Amino acid sequence: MMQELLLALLGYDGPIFQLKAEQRFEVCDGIFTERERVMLERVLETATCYSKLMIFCRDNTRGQGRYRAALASALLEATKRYREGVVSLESELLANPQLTPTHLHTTLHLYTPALVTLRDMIDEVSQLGVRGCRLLGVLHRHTEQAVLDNRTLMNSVEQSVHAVLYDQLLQWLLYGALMDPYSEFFLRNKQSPTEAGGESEEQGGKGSAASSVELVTELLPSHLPAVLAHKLLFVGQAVREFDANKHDGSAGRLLEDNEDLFVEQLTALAEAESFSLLRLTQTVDNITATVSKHLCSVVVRGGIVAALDDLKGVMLLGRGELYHTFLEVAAPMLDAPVNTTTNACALFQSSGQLVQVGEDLLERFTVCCSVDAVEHLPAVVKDTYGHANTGWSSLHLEYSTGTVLQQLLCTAGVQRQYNELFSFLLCVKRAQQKLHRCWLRHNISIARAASEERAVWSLRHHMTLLLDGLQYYLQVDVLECEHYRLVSSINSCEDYQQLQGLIASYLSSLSCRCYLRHKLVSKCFSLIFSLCHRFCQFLQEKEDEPATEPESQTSQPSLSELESEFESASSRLFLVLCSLQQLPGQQHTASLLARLDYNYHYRNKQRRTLHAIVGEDE
Amino acid sequence: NLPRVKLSKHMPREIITLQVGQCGNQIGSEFWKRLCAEHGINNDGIIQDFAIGGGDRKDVFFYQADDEHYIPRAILIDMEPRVITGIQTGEFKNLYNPENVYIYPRGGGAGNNWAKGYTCGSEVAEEIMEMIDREADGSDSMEGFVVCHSIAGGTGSGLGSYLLEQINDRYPKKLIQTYSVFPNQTEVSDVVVQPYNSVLTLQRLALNADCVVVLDNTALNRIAIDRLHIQNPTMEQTNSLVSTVMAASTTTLRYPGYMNNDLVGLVASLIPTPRCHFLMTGYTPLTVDQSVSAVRKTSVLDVMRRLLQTKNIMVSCNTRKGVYISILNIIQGEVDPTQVHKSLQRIREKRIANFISWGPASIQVALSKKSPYVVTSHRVSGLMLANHTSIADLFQKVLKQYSNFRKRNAFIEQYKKERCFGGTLEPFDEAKEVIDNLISEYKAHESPNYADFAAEDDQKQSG
Repeated sequence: MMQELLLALLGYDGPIFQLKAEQRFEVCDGIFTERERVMLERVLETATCYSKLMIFCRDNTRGQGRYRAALASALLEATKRYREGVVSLESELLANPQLTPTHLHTTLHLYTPALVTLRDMIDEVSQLGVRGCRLLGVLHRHTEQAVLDNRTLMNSVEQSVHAVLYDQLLQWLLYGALMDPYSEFFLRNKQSPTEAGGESEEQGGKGSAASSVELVTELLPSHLPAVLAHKLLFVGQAVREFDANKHDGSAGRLLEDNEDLFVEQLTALAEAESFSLLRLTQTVDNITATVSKHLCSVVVRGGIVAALDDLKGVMLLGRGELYHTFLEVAAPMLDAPVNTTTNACALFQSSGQLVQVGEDLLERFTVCCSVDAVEHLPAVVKDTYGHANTGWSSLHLEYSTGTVLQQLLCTAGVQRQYNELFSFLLCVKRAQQKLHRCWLRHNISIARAASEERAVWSLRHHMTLLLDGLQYYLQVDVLECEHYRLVSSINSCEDYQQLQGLIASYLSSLSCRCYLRHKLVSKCFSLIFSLCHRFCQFLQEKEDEPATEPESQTSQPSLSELESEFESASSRLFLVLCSLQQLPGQQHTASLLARLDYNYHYRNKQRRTLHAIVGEDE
Repeated sequence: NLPRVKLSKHMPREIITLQVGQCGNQIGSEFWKRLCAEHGINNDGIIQDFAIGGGDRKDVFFYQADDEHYIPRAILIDMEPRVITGIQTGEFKNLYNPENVYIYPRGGGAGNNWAKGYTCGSEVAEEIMEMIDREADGSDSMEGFVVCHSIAGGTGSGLGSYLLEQINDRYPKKLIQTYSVFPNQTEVSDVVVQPYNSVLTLQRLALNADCVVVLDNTALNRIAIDRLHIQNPTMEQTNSLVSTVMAASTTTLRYPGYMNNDLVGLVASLIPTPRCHFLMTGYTPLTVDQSVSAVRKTSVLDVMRRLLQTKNIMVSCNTRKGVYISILNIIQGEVDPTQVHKSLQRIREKRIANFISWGPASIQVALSKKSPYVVTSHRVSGLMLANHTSIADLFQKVLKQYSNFRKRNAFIEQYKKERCFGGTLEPFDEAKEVIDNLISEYKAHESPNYADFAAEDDQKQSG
């Protein structure tokens, strides 16, 4: 009987101690007295524990992933002492056949708590089907709860399972490789474009030479903070991209100089007695800082400032003469609705040649007319163009460097923001240029005809001043200033992630200062732009059809209409800006107001109007 | 299979410069000297190695004969050979296109007589217009003409006036800008009849030019004496001031930038009403040769404040009287752009500049590049182009001198006998009327209800 009990303790089924459902050992009915049975059942509890652990080990050594396998072998290792205990009990039993189950129970009591702890953990793992990295979280929680000897045991179990993580981390952090055949790691390659649909393929463009990696939150162990995971993601990603873009002359891998050091640090972590989140965080921070700094210097050396200058020149209309020509050259084609034959790119390239913009600069930009672009237009531009789907509204620019800067400046998000700004600025420039053309035509017609149409002149002048003021505000107070700030902070920046932040905040502050997200101001702008277009149209028509009597009568009220509409639109803009100015963080509104209303013309007019209203009330 | 876009090779918005008469050619040649220096082109028109691919826009004012050879789009015109011969034998003798030089074959000049120059114009205009046409045909997207001349002598004023009319007629869609030198009124001139000449020229400037940059010799002399401490400023020294202004006012055309990329863009917002197209200029820091600079600070605010000081303005009018219709400051050099707004605010708070009250007006500030090839002792320089009503005072002065002469009928015969006068004095009366109107137009701008007046005027006209 005792022999069979010992066998049961090692997990073997027998006629007396039978292995029942759920790996439970039960005593066969009718052999023992009630007292004996109680004692035996106590011993058998230990047997059940062990048998469960062994079953887990059996099931998980193969095919269930690296983490479960590691846990299984760790369990085997952890139960070694127990098995040795059982074996020594057997020899004791052979020497002294009088030993009772009670003795067995007392001796085994040494090992039981460890087995119970392990079993509890295994139960949780099995029941919840926890796998992969996530396992570490469960393990860690149980380890934290364990005390005394158990703690030591659990520490070693935990460490041996963490070894898998450290291995994966090492591969990922140092080489950007994902050694993850069972998809257990909390980082994974993004779904391939074919599965995710055509759109992401388009957005990724040429930039995604290094496929991107994403964080899988479901697999992130509960004891690792998300911040840490993001850092890990960043480092590996950076290493990947850096290696993918190595062709730009910078030899060697990103971490080459520090590789040995980091391997050492990670090994030390793996070899430590217990898992320490603090030390892991420190090590990761260390690596992140090094990578970030290195990457930052690479990007700065890779000419980020020059690239930003290029972007400012072309996408933010810094090269005025280029657009000056483009607007004229492309007008016949882009005034019409967009069709398949619209070759904006050729127009753009040739405008560049006409004003001798360097070809190398233009090569980095591709222009296309796509109907999809209309969707992303800021409201102000959409409203200005109205429903007419002309080429202007579907213009879309794309920038590509093909160097280390690609990931920083050519991502879909950054490009989209630049394109929003571009379409707005082009809208302003177009209206402004049209007014200038009117000035020229009208100037000449005035010089010839003696009669002066002052109303036309003053309306044109007010429109021009408003647009010029807006343009100076945009180009000097917003673009120049923000760019100046960005460049000076880039020069003092040593951290890649900080750099990313700088660019993101640069773009968002540009879009804020252009009021792209401000509905009321956008509305006023678009109203004013379309009024300018209508006014130019009006003058054009008037010029084309030399005033015959009836026609001049029909067109005359149209001018006063335009006049009053413009009057109300500009006053409204002024009012909105004035009230905006009162809010905190609106210094830029103050400077726009100063530009538009330098001699307080609008303010005084507003006051007079107010006085008039108040006077009437009284 | 995409449709090919047929386009010419370049589209630089060319500007053709005409320099007429002694003064016109002198300031013209100074201007070209300066442009050459700023674009790295040597005396023979050859581009220096360091300036190749400099990212500037040389082709606005120059055309390229071959890879390295740049030729000014300039036409040199005079009725006597002295100045042009001087240019043709001077250090820049190989720069200009010899086909673009016109010297009146009979020589002798216009004898400081507007009428003679004008009459002469009708004789020789065909030949000169041929040159202009050739230049215009040779450019792909000509934007307009710049005329350099003085209004006091005979050739620049008389022949210049005739050419203005002709060009306006032939090229109605092109812009005409002039740099017109007004005579020094403080000293006795060798040209006794300059009030006559000035009045007659002013009429054409008012009617046939789109934009006139007034360069007042009185003020230039004052600046040379007071600001640069030169006892007896020479013609070269004042001309160097003029060329500085000319070069600075074209800087946004010659360098890539976000705004004012063409002449129209530059002047459209400065000139709200077509008649009032006379601009005054201010420049800082003022130096004749580039060596000494007495200027201490060069912040944007300092530059902008100095530009508004009457003593730095190159027209002898008191800008403290009257109002500004518009101002454009072109600031060259390395500038902290965040300073622009602050400076504008300060100037507004301190009420340094008075503006029209009947409509919006402002100081526009364009930041522009500075030539990397010209070494200057100052980091930042600024040019102001302003439309100010006090310029009418200058016209008033001219008109007063003219009236004094007319009352006595002094020197009237030499005008009367010329063909264009046809024996009468009507052209004088006509010119006076035009200038009178111009002056009252400027005065009207000072009134706070100008806009209302204008509306009434229109009603009267239409009614």
